[in-house]
Amino acid sequence: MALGDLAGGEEDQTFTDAVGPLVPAAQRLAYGMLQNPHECEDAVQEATLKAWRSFPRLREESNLRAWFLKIVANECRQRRRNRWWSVIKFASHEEAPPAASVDDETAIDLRQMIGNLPSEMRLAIVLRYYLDLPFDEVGRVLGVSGAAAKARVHRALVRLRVDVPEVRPDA
Amino acid sequence: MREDEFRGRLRIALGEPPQLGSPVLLYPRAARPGFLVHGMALIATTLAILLIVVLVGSRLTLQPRGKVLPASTPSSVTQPAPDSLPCHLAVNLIQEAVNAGQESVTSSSMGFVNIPSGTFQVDPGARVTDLPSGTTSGPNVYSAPLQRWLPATSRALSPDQRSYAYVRLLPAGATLSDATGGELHVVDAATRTDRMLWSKSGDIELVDWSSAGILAASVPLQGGVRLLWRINPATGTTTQAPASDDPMFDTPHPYSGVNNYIYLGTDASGRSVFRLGSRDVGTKYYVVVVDAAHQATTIYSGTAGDPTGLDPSGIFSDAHGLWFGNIDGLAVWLWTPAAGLKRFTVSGGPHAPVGYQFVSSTFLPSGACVPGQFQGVAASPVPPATSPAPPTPLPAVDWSPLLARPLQLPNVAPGAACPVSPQVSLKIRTPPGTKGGIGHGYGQGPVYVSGQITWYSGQQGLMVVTDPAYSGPVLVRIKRLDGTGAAALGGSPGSPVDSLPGGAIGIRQTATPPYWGQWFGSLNPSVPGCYGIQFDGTTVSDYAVIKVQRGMPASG
Repeated sequence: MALGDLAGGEEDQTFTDAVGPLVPAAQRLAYGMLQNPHECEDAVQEATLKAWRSFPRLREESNLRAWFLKIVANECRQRRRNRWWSVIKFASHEEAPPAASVDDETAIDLRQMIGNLPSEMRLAIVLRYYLDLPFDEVGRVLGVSGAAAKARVHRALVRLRVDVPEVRPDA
Repeated sequence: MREDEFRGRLRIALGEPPQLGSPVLLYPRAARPGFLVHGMALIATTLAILLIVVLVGSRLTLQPRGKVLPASTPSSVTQPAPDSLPCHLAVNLIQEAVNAGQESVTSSSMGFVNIPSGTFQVDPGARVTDLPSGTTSGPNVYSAPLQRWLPATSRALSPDQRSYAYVRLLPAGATLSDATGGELHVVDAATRTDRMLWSKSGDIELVDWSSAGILAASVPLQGGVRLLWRINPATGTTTQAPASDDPMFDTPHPYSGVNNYIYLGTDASGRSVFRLGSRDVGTKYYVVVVDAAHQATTIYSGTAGDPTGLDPSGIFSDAHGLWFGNIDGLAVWLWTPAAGLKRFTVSGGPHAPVGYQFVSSTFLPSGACVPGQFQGVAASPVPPATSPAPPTPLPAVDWSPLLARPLQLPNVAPGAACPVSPQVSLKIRTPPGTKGGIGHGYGQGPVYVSGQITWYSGQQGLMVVTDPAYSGPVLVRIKRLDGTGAAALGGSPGSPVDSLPGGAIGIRQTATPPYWGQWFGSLNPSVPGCYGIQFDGTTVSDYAVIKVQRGMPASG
């Protein structure tokens, strides 16, 4: 059963028409944040339901995509927070240095480093580089200005030890 | 690095989202805000009533056979929660006994370990022969919803525990030595309905059954590329899955000094559980849980042989947490995020059988811990050995002439391609009454190395098979060809060897014409790489080259 199958009224149809096209972006955001297809589906499902509930309160001038992605992002944050294993600390052991010459291991390293970022930084990175949003829209999802969003992306990149000149504060 | 370059790297790292289901609206129109509170209250009330009915029903009916005693603090009003104690944990007791030079004798019993007392009792009513099952046998799993044992492992059990999958080799009656293909079947255990879901010309290995469907691997019967498939259990629709979906290979970033691992299983949430590190006494090891984002959580870190004694043999997760068996058969463990690791010493295991040189027993968690205590019957050991005396020792061999022969292994530059020996098909003839032979090997003959298709760093089985054209002693030596690193060769209780200088081993007797020789031992490369294995006999000299990868999945 797809979005809207149970939505019968005019308002529900409006919701379906408005949010339906945003679902792929929502799924991409959730997958980028959670990296788990099942959790991703659950998060988007729950976010869609929450969006449906609050849809009548949405002001006309609001940016619909930013509004919906913000709900999805909150749901993902909540799910990451609720993971029972996320509160368990690693035992004190050293990790082996990455084999930088092997592409897939480099990718695994980057994925792990992104996974270890604080949620807000990870969200900024995913919105900017996985969803290709401009900084202004990244800011709307994060609830900050475009400049602040850029600064947050920069801080995340520094944490990842990646230097991207376009995102430097002086760029 | 430019933004575009980082974007590309990030997308490789995170991967593209798989095909995902569209969200649905779960609530009827009336549940919109304004009606929602009332609607939710109605739903909650209905669920509460249903829950009570289910709990009462399960209390009355969902119990294993044998006598289940009530929990120590019964209440006429409240029913035990699925995670309450006391409970009885479904386990398979596996006991193995062997004498040198003989095939091992294995006994498997289904029963329960009462928690927290740790007493083990066999379930006298346990039987699985009334349900269809595959060619290979293994531990059985207990379905709490169906209150019965099923002829499948926990990995083949459906998420609702009401169905299971099995693989049937083709043609009917075939073994791995002579099969031409396989079929994946799904059985609805409640209705005993057996459906053929998928067939393949090669062997099918059942990897896992989760909410995402059945994950199976197809492997050419003579070895080759192993492909993963995701199968819809309802429709049989099959799509190829990426290798990264295999929970056995969902390993965390390598830990310092750890090159091998054992896959223990997957929990109910789809997280893979591994033991990282060797089991050699004094070496560091970790037990970790890896989530879908490849994040590892360390459940335990210790030193093999330390006083804690955790040596996991298998897992099962339920509402209590994650249950572990222990290889020494002395305990089961429960791990929860809040309380950590808790040991329950097990009593009531079988006495050691008579007439064997080597005996081992272990309890494999095979189902949920069901509220209440279980009272069944005492466990029986495997039957006494029919011929307690070990076979006559083979005459000693003077290995010095063979040891004096130089290694003739190829040189491989670091980073260069490993000249892996091609796999050859073997038609192995074994004595009547034995379990048959393996169908492939590496080398030019008459001596071949076999036992694995893919080799890993860490302890794994190794076979040396010998054509009946040669029946003399064989010296086996191994060396890494593309760098430094050791690889230990070892025998097994049923296949003793002479340990020789330089890590070489000597197999005194190989083939017994007209039958092939099959020697079962172990190989433990310390690091991945390209390795050469040289065989020297009185009239033969040959070698095989294998490529060793990082890690080690559990067998089976």
